[in-house]
Amino acid sequence: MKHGEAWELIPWFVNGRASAEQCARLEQHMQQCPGCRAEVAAQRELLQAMQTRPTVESMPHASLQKLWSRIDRQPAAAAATPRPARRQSRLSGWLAAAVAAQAVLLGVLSVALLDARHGTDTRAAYRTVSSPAAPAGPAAVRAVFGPDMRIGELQGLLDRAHLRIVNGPTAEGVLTLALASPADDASQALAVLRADPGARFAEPIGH
Amino acid sequence: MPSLSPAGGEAHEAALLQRIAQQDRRAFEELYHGYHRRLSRFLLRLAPRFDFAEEIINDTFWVVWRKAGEFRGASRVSTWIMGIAYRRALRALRTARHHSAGRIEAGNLQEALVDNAEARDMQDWVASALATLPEEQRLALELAYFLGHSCEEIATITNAPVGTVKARMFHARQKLRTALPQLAGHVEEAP
Repeated sequence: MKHGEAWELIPWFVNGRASAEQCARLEQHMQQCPGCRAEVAAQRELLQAMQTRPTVESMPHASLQKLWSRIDRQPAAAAATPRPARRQSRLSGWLAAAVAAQAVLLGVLSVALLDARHGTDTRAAYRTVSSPAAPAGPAAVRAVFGPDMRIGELQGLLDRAHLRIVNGPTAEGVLTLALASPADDASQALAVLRADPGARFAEPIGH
Repeated sequence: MPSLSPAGGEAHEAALLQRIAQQDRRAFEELYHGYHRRLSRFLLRLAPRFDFAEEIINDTFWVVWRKAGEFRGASRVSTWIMGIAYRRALRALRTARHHSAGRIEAGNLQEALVDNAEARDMQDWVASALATLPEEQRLALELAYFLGHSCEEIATITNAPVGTVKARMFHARQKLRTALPQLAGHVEEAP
């Protein structure tokens, strides 16, 4: 095998998609070519670095529902290419989602404030993000929720998952969630989120 | 590396497409669920925005719903679906680059997606170096190294000759070698 041919083949040698015959010829060439040996090592390292992220758990339910309503709105005979105008409106929709997520957090905070103003027992089972008495579990999950989710639904979901909001939403709508108590299980919390149609994405936070 | 036919094997996926051509919603949902994770992971690498990933996945599957009857089995189902997603991702990346008058910067989210502190430096270097590549070179590299496609599959997905795919990979590797001298520090020579 000539050097140029070997050099071109290296990416598919490294990703396991070269044929057995190609691999054998490249290996033979590498015995006399330190340049190709080094390149294989470098490309293996690159491939590994590219494999590690992201660690996002995808939750397709909400996205699929959006797609169904788009398909159902569309007359059967319409053109198959999406129009630019729709892109604009959907991106504005996303901005609305970010605002909605912020509204959710504000809602939770105002409930907390009301709670404090009325001198409610802070040990009540209903905990809010700002309850100072709540034990601080470690941040366990980052998640994004659908724009249509109501405050009560989010609160109910987080209660079921034994999670509470410790940070966010960021500009991208990401909430950082902690386990309500250290005894809770992060993988179980993720499973609860995953099963809920309102959750868009979630990922575990490693420690 | 994830399976190339995430919805359960080539024959099964081809059968799902046939049912989708008959407007079978359950078949569509099965295919959508099968590909959502693979596509969202791929797309979130290109731009760390959930809205970007969701929009391209839904644009892609909108075409799958409407064009399933036109699939003739000339390629694998996964290659066909990736080809649709590729064209949309490429167009979105070009638009984004045009609007930002530069490359897409890795945002806070990308930062948030890496938790392994030891691997973090190398991943950050690689991520910023990848963001400097022209879109076609970046995508060729991602299709090969992140999704594990063969050279011929990438040619089909990108609708380009095999020689063009090889050239894109060649130039991407050359640029990364300059940008990332820390990759296997003993790279001795270029051809």
